[in-house]
Amino acid sequence: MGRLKIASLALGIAVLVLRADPAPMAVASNWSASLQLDNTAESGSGSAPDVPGDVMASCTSPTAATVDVTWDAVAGTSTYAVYESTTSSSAGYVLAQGDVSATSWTTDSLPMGTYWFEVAAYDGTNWASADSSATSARTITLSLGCS
Amino acid sequence: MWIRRHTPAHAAPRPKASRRSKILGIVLGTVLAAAAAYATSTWVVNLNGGSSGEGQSASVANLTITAVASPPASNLLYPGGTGDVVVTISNPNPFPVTVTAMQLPDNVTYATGYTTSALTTTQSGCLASTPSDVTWNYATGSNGSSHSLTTPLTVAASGQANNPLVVTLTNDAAMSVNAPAACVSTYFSMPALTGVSATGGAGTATTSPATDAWTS
Repeated sequence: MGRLKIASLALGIAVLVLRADPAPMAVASNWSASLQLDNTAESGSGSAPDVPGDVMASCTSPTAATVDVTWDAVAGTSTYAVYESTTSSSAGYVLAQGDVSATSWTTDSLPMGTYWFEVAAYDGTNWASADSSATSARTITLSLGCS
Repeated sequence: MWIRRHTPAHAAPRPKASRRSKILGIVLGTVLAAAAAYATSTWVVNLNGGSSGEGQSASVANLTITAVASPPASNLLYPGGTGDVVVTISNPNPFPVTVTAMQLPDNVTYATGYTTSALTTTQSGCLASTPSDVTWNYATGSNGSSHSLTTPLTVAASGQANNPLVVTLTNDAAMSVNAPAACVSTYFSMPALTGVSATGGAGTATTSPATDAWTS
């Protein structure tokens, strides 16, 4: 009986020891890790579209007062904008047509005058290339049409 | 009257007591062996202040996620597109931690643009307040939306190889079509993640640098 009591006592102590030990805390699969609040991550953006090349203006016909403007496609570009100037090849440009998805555009019938054109490529709404080189001049005259 | 204590030959009580003792001894031995095995197969971790008794949960030191410029992102952001995000994940715990998902801020929390990859000088006209129109991809209108990684990332225990773990999150940044022109060729500090889903203890460490992503 004495051994029995001793064994029971030892068993009881062992159980108490296990209960005092925070056993569930050590179950690895139940641990949950958190994240510090001021975490950071880095990304980067690309560059603006390249400048359209080979921009040319040609008369739709000798007797019409309209001009075709054409240019090479630019990779990564969603739309193009065409600018015209009646001042000179280097100044006075205003937007003639935006949101052109093709690589050509034809003017409406133009008033008499001399015209130069430039084209810019757009990626999205606001990312634009620099303006292209100016086209050679096209002149609209009342009697001769386009030349 | 003196009575001599003796055990009658037919009673045989001692074998019964001995059997009980043996059974208890086996039980006791088993319990002690289990306790010893338990003690050697588990870790001691920090506990929450005031925790006591059974049923308490362990506290694990927070993971650290930090922007890193190397390796550079392969997929850059363009209006209407997505780009890579590069981070390092540090695990300060003495055991590996496996990250399975990340929680994102809402989709109107924007990144701040910087002029260099050091992220020290902000890019005028391309700030979070502008806004830059750069967000985490798949972010929703709710703060804390959870997005599972394609492959769980296991960050090695503190002091071990591959900790910190450099991870490229492929195409997990997004830029709207209306991004300002000032955000051309810009480095972005992404909005802080709101959390991670991570468990500690097991797993083979992911080799650094790693590539991963959430795709929804």
